[in-house]
Amino acid sequence: MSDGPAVRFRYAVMASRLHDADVVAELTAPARAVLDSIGGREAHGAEMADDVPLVFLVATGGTERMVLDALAHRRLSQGEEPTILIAHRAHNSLPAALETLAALRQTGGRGRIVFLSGRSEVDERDLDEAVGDIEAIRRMHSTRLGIVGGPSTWLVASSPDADVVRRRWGPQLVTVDPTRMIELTRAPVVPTGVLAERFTAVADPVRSNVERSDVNDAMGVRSALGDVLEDHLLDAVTVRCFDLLGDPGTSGCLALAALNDDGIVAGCEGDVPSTLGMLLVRHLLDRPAWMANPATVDVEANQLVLAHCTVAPSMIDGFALDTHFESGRGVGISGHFAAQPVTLLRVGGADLDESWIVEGDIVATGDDPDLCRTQVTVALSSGNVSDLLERPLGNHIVLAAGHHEARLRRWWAMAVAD
Amino acid sequence: MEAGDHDFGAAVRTKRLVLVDLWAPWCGPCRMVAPVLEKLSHEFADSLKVVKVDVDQSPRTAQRYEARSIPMLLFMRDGDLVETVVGAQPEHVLRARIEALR
Repeated sequence: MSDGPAVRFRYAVMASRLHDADVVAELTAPARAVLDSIGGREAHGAEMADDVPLVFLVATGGTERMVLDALAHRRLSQGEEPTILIAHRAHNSLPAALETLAALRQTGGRGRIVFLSGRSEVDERDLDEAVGDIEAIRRMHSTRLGIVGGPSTWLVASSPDADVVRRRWGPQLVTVDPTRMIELTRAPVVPTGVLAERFTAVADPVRSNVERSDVNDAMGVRSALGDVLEDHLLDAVTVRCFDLLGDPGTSGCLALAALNDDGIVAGCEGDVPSTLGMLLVRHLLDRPAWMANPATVDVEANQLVLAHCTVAPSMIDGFALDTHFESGRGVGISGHFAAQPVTLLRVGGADLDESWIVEGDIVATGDDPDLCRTQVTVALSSGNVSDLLERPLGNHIVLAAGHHEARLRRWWAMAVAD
Repeated sequence: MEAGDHDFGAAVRTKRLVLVDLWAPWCGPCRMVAPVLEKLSHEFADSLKVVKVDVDQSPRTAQRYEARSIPMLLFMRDGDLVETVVGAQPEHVLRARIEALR
């Protein structure tokens, strides 16, 4: 591998020896300019094995075997990873890319062709997203996801084996004994009152319904999880949080909300599939996600109400603090989402190869006393809520701000689907 | 106009179509639909009366209509509930309901 300044990704220009080098350079200049502008650098020789994503600019026909050979060599150091082929309208670039990707797929490989339109802003977006997709895959494969305490007992359809998680999605699942988390929550090593300020300073004082001491106790979980993350070298976590309600008698809601806003994906209830969905949103879309229960569905209106007691404060306009709904203990967040476009995602199946990805808009918010504290009504603009009643993948649904269905589906097709 | 628990009955007892907006200051979708309702109230001034009710200030009214998700829009005539719409709706949808019901 070569030394040199860090780059976001490399691109290899593949051209048949039948073509003059100067002609190829001129032909590929616009594409190379776009690739350079989004953080790419051309790879020469050994640089094709650099530990960054590598994409192939298929300059001409007659490059099929060349690409396959380059990939075989790269695989020796980088292992299997999806391939991005960039094609353009001239010199049989697309025909070569089609044949190459087809060959890859015949032997179980994955990838995608990005066809350049010639419009620089479109090409820049498409290439940036393609590289981002590979980056997300690499991040998933380097993620250590801790499951503290194991999955909750009611997650009868949402408790995949570690080898399925690793093989299908990439993260290494690390089982963590909850004892230390509980001990550290009981006796935090940092002043939790200071940690609690991030919530108490901005919570609606009129609608909040908990004591300051309860908030301090709840932030003991945040302090404890910080140590757990360090001790086990974790990048993300899902917590069997209901165990905290008994001992030490607080909830994990604030801690998980804080972690998600601190850039550390944190899911509830030991739900691994939903936490994988949250990881995907973070790695691919660079934002936090909200994991919630679908509380009610209206098939006729194609709407559903989502509710849960933890939500990253950066996702909401404001909030009040209340007890955790089901237990009446600890502290939960009654958050107020703005009206906005959203994407809903659910991952599942015995082999974690099934998904439900739809778009909608938040049209209502609520404070129903019979539901978890943060509540929204989402009106779907794609897909059907009836899918949840007929072919559910499990309970929790992951919500991300913005419309990203197409992006997520493209990523899914390349990264997860058979 | 605004109304609360103490004067809700009087506010909605009219032969004109009444659109009750159950809202709260902390509700983002409620804030989004408010200017649309304001606009429609002027457009249909002769045949529509818009009444805003803050559910935090008027819990009895909110409870009577089971306003658990807001905005909740109640179409009423002569004090009777004609139709309920939950959630922020596009202007054209609300206009169509008003024209159908007035």
